[in-house]
Amino acid sequence: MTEPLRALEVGLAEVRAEWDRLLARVEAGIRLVERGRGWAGGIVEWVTGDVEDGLAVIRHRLGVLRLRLERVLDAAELATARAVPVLAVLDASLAWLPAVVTPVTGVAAALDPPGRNLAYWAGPAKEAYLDVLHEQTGALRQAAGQARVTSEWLADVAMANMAYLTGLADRVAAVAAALTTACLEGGATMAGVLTQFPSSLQDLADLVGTVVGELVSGAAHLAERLAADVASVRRLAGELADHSDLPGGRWPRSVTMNR
Amino acid sequence: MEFDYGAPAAIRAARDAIRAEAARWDDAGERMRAVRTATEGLGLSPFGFAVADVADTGQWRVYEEMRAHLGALCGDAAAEFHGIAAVLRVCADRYTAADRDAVTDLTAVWGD
Repeated sequence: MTEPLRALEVGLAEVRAEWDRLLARVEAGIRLVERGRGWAGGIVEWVTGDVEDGLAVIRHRLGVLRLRLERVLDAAELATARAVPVLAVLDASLAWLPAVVTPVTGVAAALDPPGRNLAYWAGPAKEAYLDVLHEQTGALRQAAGQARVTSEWLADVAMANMAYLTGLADRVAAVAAALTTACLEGGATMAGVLTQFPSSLQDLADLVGTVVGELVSGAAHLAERLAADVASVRRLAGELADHSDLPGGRWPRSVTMNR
Repeated sequence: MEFDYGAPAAIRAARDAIRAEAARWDDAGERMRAVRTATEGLGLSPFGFAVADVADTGQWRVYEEMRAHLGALCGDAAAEFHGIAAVLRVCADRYTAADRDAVTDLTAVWGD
């Protein structure tokens, strides 16, 4: 998970830098047009109204692009901030095995079968003990099973987030690339600004708009996966708790003495 | 020839075996207590379940419930195992040639 996270952080930094660069170029273009507008005879082929309309289109498309970019940046920033706690989920998934699953399974294996010399013990008390032994080791195996389910669920949560994070990093990189190669040609002349900038900005806004849509559906997909996972873990936990080895989800009481 | 469970050597072997069994349960009890303690270190942040802004589906609450439930089970198991060890020691003490054939109230020893 650290790899898509690093890619995301790099992409995020690139998007911010490229956006600043693009903004500076567009603003320079706008200033160029505004200066020329006041200069009599500056442009013969443009009437004032057309110039105003052209600037309005540039400003509008820039605004749309900015809003869409902000949504991408918000998603990327949130993911970056949450990545550390999500990494902790992955760590916890792995930690459940040595902390709980393995030792509980090991305890069951250490108790069952009982010591060989127990063969010298005969009588009903021994039979009662063997019942207790099986009841208790059955409960141990159920508890180990629940712990394993918990560990696997956390791994699924981490994987689902990893898939989203990878997709997000790819899209942020695509946005950064689009901003870098944005074809803001003609920035040196008023006519160039007024004809080239609107279409370049529209292309960028369309591309970023598509990315926003993909991020929304990616987040919805993540939400669905998480909801399905939590539903299945709830169901499994219920089934395990109802199991006769853990009656009512409680540890079986075999002994009433010394309580 | 039938094995003579009442022979003094067999009784001694049985009592030793029962006490060894009791020691296994005490050890198992300690191990379960350690697992219980380990579950306390497995807490997670409520924000760790999604890197995106998604609706809360109760992941964290379910996780904390599972963790608390399993931790409590392990604690109960530890107490139960020490109890079983104590009962086995009583069984070993009572297991003599004299009363091997006597009927003891199993309920009084093991509970219902």
